[in-house]
Amino acid sequence: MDETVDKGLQLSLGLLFSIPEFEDFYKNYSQEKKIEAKNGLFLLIESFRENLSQKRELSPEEDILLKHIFECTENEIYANSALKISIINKFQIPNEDFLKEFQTDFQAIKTGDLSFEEINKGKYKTVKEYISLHGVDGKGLSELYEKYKDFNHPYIYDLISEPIIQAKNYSNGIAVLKKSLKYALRYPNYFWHSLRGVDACASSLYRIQFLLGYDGFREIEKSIENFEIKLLKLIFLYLSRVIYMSEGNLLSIDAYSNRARIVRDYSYQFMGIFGIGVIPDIQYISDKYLAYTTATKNNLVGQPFIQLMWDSMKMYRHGSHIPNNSGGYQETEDATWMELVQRGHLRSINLSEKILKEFENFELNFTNSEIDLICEVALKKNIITTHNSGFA
Amino acid sequence: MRIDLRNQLAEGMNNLQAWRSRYSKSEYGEKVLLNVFYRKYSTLFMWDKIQNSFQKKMFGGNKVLWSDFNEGFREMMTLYQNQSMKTQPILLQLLSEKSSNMVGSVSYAGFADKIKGASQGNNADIEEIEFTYLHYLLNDQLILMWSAFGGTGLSKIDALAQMSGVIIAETDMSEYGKVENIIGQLCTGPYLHENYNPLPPL
Repeated sequence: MDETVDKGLQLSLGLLFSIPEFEDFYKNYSQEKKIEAKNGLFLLIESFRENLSQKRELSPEEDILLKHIFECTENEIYANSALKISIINKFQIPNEDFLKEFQTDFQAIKTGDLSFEEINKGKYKTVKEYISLHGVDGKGLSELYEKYKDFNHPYIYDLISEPIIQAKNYSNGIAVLKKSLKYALRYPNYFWHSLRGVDACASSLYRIQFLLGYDGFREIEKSIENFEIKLLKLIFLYLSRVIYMSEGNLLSIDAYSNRARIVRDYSYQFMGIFGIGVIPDIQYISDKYLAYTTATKNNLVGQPFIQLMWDSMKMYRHGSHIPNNSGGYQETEDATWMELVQRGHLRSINLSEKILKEFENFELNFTNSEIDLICEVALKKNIITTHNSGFA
Repeated sequence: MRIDLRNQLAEGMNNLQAWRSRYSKSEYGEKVLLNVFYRKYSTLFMWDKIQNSFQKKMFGGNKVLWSDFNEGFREMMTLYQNQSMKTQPILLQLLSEKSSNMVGSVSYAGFADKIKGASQGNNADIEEIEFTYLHYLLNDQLILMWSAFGGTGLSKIDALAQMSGVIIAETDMSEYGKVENIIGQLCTGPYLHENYNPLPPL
């Protein structure tokens, strides 16, 4: 139990009795209703606020006190939870009203052009994977950035950087991406309790990892000790946060799938991160399958989603994306496919909690100079000579 | 910069986050600045005690008041907490009647435009107030740390070097405003430059 937080709540509850009407209200209320857990306390405070405001106007001090009790309760629950990775502190959700206008503006600059780019060449024998790219108006994107560049939200910077980077305008794209990375690569992250903020941080970290590649990691390791492991831990952490705070909505499908991919692509590094004796492929089996079940729960059907299930099954049966003569993990593991899915699920929760502790202990923080270096290396690895001005 | 301010910066960010949800847009900027001056007045009122850590022995050398830095910092924090309790009841009076008084190197009246702008929803003013809060939160804590180093037997210049990694020429460090500026330039400024993330619009 966090003593400071606990003390804060107890103190504020004690102060409630300084409001003259509270004692009588509480006596009557507690005879009618049982006050249980957080929701019970919230209901008590809300009913008291309503009751009091019908009789007289609340003083500013009383208003602050009632808000403060909510705040302390949320803080106490978060501080004392054994499963912090999934908990959302309602008082720490930032005001994101301006994002609605941003999304409308972003939709308005889409040109309607659609193209497809093949990815992961050679991953499967008979299946090709494509991503769809939606065209955006370069001038419009430039104007959009000008309008929102000081809004300090990773969602804005991540979304704007994506088409610029896809258009291979790396110098401008990475400069915008860097602004999002500064939030992702540092604790405390103001957006930790915002699903859009966390998802944008996960996406930005995932993208910089692609831009750096193995060579980029090696180059940065010369200056920043343990960079690769720290970045991989953060990607795992943010993707896990998206999964466990989104409660199975559409965002978690991509998060599961990307987490599977990162664990598979860096399996040697994840052997060290998980600890001795853990096979990262089990996480892949689990995450791909859970991505598939999340898709079906959201009524999403079709080849890309069924492929998630096949990926999981093939890895279980053959230890690879491509069917072969080996017995895969079906032969080597003393567990069924679904038992491995469950094992991976539990293990990922434990690992993300462990990484969160490191994050909260500032062990995964990067300074602005280090982030500048990361982006410089990413740019160097990807730059092509262009004479673009703006984002066009 | 040798000293670790991550906990202090995290505390400051968490406070800003809490105040953002607690106060309305029109009152937020003023509340944050009240807190800045609450801390600054408390530091000013205990300035003699802060200076008292740097005592000379009768026959040369510096007096050692505590066995290590941590003990000294705990001592300074206790003194600060006691002082802040005495500051709290008179703070509003000080800010309304003596708003032009310099507290360290700034005055409350100097922020009048920022308070007005923030209350009207000007995001640049809100950000400036938030940065000011973080800057002085770290700066005033560093002053307590500087004093704690002094009690371990270091001179004012050596204590500063211990925190910043920079040795400066002999200079007068007897006034709050001067010390604040030196520590701000050598420690707080560079630290925030490397670690500060501005917040989104309120």
